[in-house]
Amino acid sequence: MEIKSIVIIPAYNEEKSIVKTVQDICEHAPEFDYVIINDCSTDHTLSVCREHHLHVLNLPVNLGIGGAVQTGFLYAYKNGYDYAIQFDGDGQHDAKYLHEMRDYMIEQNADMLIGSRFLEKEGFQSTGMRRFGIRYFSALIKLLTGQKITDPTSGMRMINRDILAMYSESYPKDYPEPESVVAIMNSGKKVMEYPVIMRKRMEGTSSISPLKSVYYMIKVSLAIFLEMLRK
Amino acid sequence: MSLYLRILLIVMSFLAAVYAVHQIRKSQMKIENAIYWFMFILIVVVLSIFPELAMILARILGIESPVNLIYLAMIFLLLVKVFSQSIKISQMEYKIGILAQESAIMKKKAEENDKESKQ
Repeated sequence: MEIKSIVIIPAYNEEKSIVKTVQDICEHAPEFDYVIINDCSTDHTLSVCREHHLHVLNLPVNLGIGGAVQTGFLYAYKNGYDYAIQFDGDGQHDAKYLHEMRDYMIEQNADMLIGSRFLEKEGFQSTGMRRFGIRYFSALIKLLTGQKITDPTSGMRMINRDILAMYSESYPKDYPEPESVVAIMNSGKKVMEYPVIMRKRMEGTSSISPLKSVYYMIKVSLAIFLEMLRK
Repeated sequence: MSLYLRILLIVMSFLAAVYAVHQIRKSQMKIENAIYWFMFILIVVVLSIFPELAMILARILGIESPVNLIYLAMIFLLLVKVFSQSIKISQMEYKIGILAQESAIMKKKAEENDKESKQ
């Protein structure tokens, strides 16, 4: 039986980079379907998608990154996909990894495969403060679960159908990556990492401003602790 | 409690009740959500009309001034209300999320069906 895989691209104000992102996927991973989730962008993301006849799910209200990605999971689950990968619409991620990541995932029988910038420390390594935050989450997860995740905030994550079902049911609203990893590790799922090289974003600014990063740290720490209590 | 404070509380309660009824009649508030405020107003009015009640309660709880008891009770009731509102907001966000996601997926499906029937 053929394996059905889909790329989930959450997009909020990505009018300049969305087409390139899709072209990258169609070129380097033609056997992957894709779907863009337009999270109520205030720019022309939607009309650009329509113009180029891209597959797009249009959210009627802004749900935040977590809600947008979850929409993609739900769509993938309902349409019978076996593997889904979350993929940024701003050009940071490289579609050439999609195929090898899926092969590796099948071979290792993993439930989730995280594209990590830090396994081989190549490419854009994020900025100083952000790296500190990533190391902090990594240490926290190691402390609580015993497993080392080098890039817990990576937005490039492939999951299988089991996890699709779990995430369709419940997924955090903002800054969802670290805590959702802990959630599935807690239920005994196999999480692995795969070395990738990420680029600096082509367009737009990161959703995480300095002030927000404080909120990010507190929110995710609390969420991870609460997640551990659920056991 | 001074007479002025009692009068003030009663007048304010009356105004609040009128405003609440007005909002209900304009369909800006559901009766289910207004019940809490009517009970709140009722408690304030009763304590203002019979300050002896506040005095007795204050003595039992070891609170020096009855008016402090009223403040304490109000703060407590408001905290309970705010906390339950937080829960309600979370539930509503959750429900809105599901509705938005389902509608986006259904719309996409409809578009695809449209395309197919045109071909």
